[in-house]
Amino acid sequence: MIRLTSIKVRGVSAKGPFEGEITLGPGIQVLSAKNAYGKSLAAKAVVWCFGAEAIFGVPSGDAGFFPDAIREEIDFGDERGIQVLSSECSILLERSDGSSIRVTRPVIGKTGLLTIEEQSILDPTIRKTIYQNTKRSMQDDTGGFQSFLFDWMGWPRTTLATFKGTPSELYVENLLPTFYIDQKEGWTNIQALQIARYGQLQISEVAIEYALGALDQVKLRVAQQESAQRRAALKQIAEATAARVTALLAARGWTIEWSSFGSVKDVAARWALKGLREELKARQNVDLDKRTKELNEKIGKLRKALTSDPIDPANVSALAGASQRAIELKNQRHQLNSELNTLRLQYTQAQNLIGSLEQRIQSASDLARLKESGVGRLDEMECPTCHRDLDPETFALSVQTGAEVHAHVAALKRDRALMKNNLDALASSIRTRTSEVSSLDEKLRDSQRTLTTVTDAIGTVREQLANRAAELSAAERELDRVDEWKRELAQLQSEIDKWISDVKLLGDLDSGHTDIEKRRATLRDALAKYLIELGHSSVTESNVGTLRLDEQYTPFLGSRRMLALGSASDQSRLVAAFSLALAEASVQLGGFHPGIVLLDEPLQQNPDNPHRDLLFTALSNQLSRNTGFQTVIFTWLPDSDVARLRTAGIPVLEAEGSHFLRLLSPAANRSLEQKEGAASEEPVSGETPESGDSPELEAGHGESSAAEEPSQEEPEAPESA
Amino acid sequence: MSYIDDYADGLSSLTAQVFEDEVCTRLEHVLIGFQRIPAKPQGDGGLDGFSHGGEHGYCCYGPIPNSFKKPKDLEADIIGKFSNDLLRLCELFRENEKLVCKPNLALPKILPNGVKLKQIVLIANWFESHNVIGPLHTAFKTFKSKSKCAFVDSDAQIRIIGPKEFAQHYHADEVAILQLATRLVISKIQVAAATVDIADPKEFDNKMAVLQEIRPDKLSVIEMFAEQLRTSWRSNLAFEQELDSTLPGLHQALEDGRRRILGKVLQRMMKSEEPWNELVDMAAEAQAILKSDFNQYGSLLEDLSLGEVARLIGECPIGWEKPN
Amino acid sequence: MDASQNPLRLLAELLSGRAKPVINPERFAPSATYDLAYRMAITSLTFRIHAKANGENSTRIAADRLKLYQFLAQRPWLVPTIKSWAESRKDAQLSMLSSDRLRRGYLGDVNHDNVVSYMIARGILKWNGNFLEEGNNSQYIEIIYSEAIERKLFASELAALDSLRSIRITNEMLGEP
Repeated sequence: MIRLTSIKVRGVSAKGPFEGEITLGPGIQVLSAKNAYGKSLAAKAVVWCFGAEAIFGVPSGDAGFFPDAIREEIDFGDERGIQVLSSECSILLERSDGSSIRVTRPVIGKTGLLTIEEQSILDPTIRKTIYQNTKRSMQDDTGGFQSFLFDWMGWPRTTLATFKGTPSELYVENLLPTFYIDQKEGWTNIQALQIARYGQLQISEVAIEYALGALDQVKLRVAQQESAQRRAALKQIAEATAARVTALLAARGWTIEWSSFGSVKDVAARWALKGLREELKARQNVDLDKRTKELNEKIGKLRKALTSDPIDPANVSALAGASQRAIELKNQRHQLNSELNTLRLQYTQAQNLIGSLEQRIQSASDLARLKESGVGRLDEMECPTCHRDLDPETFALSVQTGAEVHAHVAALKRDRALMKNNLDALASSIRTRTSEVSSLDEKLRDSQRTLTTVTDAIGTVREQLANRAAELSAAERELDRVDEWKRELAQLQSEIDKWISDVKLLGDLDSGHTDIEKRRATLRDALAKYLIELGHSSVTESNVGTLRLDEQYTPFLGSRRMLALGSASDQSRLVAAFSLALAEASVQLGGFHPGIVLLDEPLQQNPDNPHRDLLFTALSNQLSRNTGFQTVIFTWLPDSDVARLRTAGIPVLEAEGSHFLRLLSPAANRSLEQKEGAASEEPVSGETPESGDSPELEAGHGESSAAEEPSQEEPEAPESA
Repeated sequence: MSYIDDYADGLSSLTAQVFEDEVCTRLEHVLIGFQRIPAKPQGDGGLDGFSHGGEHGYCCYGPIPNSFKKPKDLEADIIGKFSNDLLRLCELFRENEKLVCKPNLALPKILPNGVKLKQIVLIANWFESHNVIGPLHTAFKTFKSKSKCAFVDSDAQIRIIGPKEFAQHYHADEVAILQLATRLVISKIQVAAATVDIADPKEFDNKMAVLQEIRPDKLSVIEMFAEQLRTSWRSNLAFEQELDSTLPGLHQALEDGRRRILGKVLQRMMKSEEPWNELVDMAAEAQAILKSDFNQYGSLLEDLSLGEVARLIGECPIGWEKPN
Repeated sequence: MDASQNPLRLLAELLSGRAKPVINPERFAPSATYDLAYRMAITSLTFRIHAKANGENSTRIAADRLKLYQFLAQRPWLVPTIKSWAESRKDAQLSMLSSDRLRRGYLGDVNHDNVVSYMIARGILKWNGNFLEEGNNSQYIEIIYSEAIERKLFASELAALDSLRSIRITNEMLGEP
């Protein structure tokens, strides 16, 4: 745990140097100053010096969230609009072992660089180093500010999962919303300023668990997220693979059941039972190995027949045989084409029927709308000849009710569902037949080639030789095709096998065990205490037992979210209570909370008396006890409350004057320069009148220093790392 | 089966007020000047309607046949009811086995002034025994002799008819069948039956899933059944579209036939203790219903009939659920 | 059909004694084609789009033409058939092939005749020889047309009626075969 002992903002204006500093003690304290004093400026300086400005929604190094007073123009007393030439913020952090660091960061200038002045208890020498807070400040172990800070704070680095699947870490900007509650947006929700600009998953939960010291839980959470991402990726691969298998087999007229339905574990178990070749053999009776063997045997025989077997010159069957084969194949193709044509016709008819059903559904729906509107409804009238009511039934016509029309629409939709299923089935049959035709065409081409060759041969011997050669050629081509299919199937199978082994590696992380429940209970108990102390209107001693935190650490009272309960004041009580509870629980559990809680305007600048009373009763009672962490509350209190708190032992730092930042007197400036050993190149010209006290928490600017020539002092150039 | 038989069959299954409503509606259509007489609030005086200026009167009675153990009891019930009606029309009342005069206060406000009933038609939903004829005619003769005949002519005649005679005499045609079918369907909804539930059946695939739950031992049979049903249903849709485009008159006949088929299914499955077995004969019933219009389609009629039933199952007016 | 092929027998064997029949007559619905409001609407739309001016203050349409057009409006999938019929008129044999089914269809549409009778009884239309003209209550036609256009009702029927504008249907085609 650390303590924030000083917040300083200073700079150089056209009128000379200016500065403001707040010195803080341990435990709880209140900084009381009126609006526009610069309290929030001081609070934001802490964020800036932690390098966490991203929580304000600005890019790294962008100081745009600071007021103009330290970026553009500053007012000192009656003098307004004085140009700011340079400015910087600085905080002093003390560790529990006594060592300290002063972190200084320019607001104007090289905002990506932070100067660390480190002093350890063992060595009083101040070691000054410059770190960068731009890219990879966590990964850069030598010059990165985040890396340094985590190391100095004793915070373990934690890898997190992201939406993109690339690894990321927990950064200071993710921890800050747990202990810094911004004046404007910070009170709208617990961790209102939490960001995940690197896409970290469940960052809010991780930040809380980190603060509670639940590193095992964070690791488990990350592992589960990564596992879920991996599962989703594997499921996508499975779907693509299943589609490829279906397409590959359908192209050859084969159909097997190879779906990717179910969880990845289910799919892996199913796919591991039988390979593609076995499934093909079982469902379609296609045994490629057997086929290969048969073809090889046939090829062997044909080769032998071609080269060494005797030929019977009297055998005239070669030509007839070739011719017969071609005829049979043509007949088969004709039949397949005929079936295909029938299927296509049925498909067209089914499409037409679906089209007419769609049109009838629309017409009936429109009729229902017409009936509901009542437009065109005809009043009863009498037939002029027979004086009876013009009853449609007399004309053999019927009038349907709206309910009947809706029922008709529902029936048509069922018909449409039937026909759509039929259409899909026909489409699948057409695909299969088409591939069968295609396969048959190849065989037909072979047989026609054979027939041509045999026909061209003259004499029975040559006919037979030509026939054998053609058969051999056809068999070899078919063997090539079978080999090609086997290769394709083997390729797919190998991808499937790899996929299955990837699934096996997933493991089962759903039932990991950590001590998170105990830690969550500690946080819950602390929250209950603070909610009652701070006077949340919905929480009483009798119902506080129903307070719980869900998996996302959202507080519930019974079944209702606490954020939905109570008044607007209760919302800020809830946020304050949670922030304090987290710090306290971390102390108890040895977590990684920094040990500081900064609450900027918990009274939200419009305090009503009861609201203020409650807060400060709480401060007087519970919070003033040594909680083991530092709490700084930025607000404004009337004199009576200041007195009351001081009586209760709570330090109240009162602002003197109207502004935090104050133009420095020349003497003070010189003293400052000496202290810092600044090497200014030009002496301050002229004298400046005495303008006030030391730059402690007093008026910032108000007692005017007469306008003198501005100091030409340049800001210190940062030393190289 | 002709329209007459169809209509008679449907009429015989109606009872009580529903039966009376159907009879009166039919008479209103067929007889110009038929006047229905409401029973409330002042009473109907023993008549359910009159026509011919008040000279013809009509009394309806639709007992629940199954509520009598023997036909003899039903006969006695019908005789008793109609006798009471005739007594009232004759302004008589039974007191200690004697007939005494009792003015009928409703009839003067119902029948036109000075008009007397010359013919009274007694219409029952059951007329399968001639045993009711003699006693009623005899009773009426007696009543007339004792009556002052203020509203009933001394020569008035009665006629007792059942559903078939009614259908024949009052021109049951396809319009009548349609209307009766609708009334039948609506009346059945209100009857609590042991075996029939009116519910909201699910879509076709869900129905097959329920079927698989009911018979997990017959999954492949169910698949076969579902496919056959789908095939019949599809053929029916295609045929219907063809009719709609080329023979709209027949298309309308098919629609009407479908309604009658559903009415028939309701009737038979409701009455039977083996409702599913009734379904087996439904295709033949459907064929009979459709035959008059579609006979020229020859063997297609058989498929069409099956397709109609298949469609009723597929489009969910007919379904099933697991027993409790 | 033998027992094994009869799906109803299969169903009976599957369910006898094991399930309750569920009959929902409310699920049975007649085709909206026979609803009077629908037929009157389509007839009105057909009249509105295809009736021609007859003098200054009235429009009329041949009854046969109205019958054919409203028939086609309800069956847009037949519009290509009428188109090929119209185009094939030069070839008598082809014309016969195209026309036969269509003629049989629309001439047999007795329901339309009843609808026209009803609309005449209602005063929406009236006879003028073989033509139908607007009757005293013809504002019904305009109301339906406006409603259909504004609320985009019966879009496919209107599209079919619109496409018929470009197909030349002669009186000869409308005549009895």
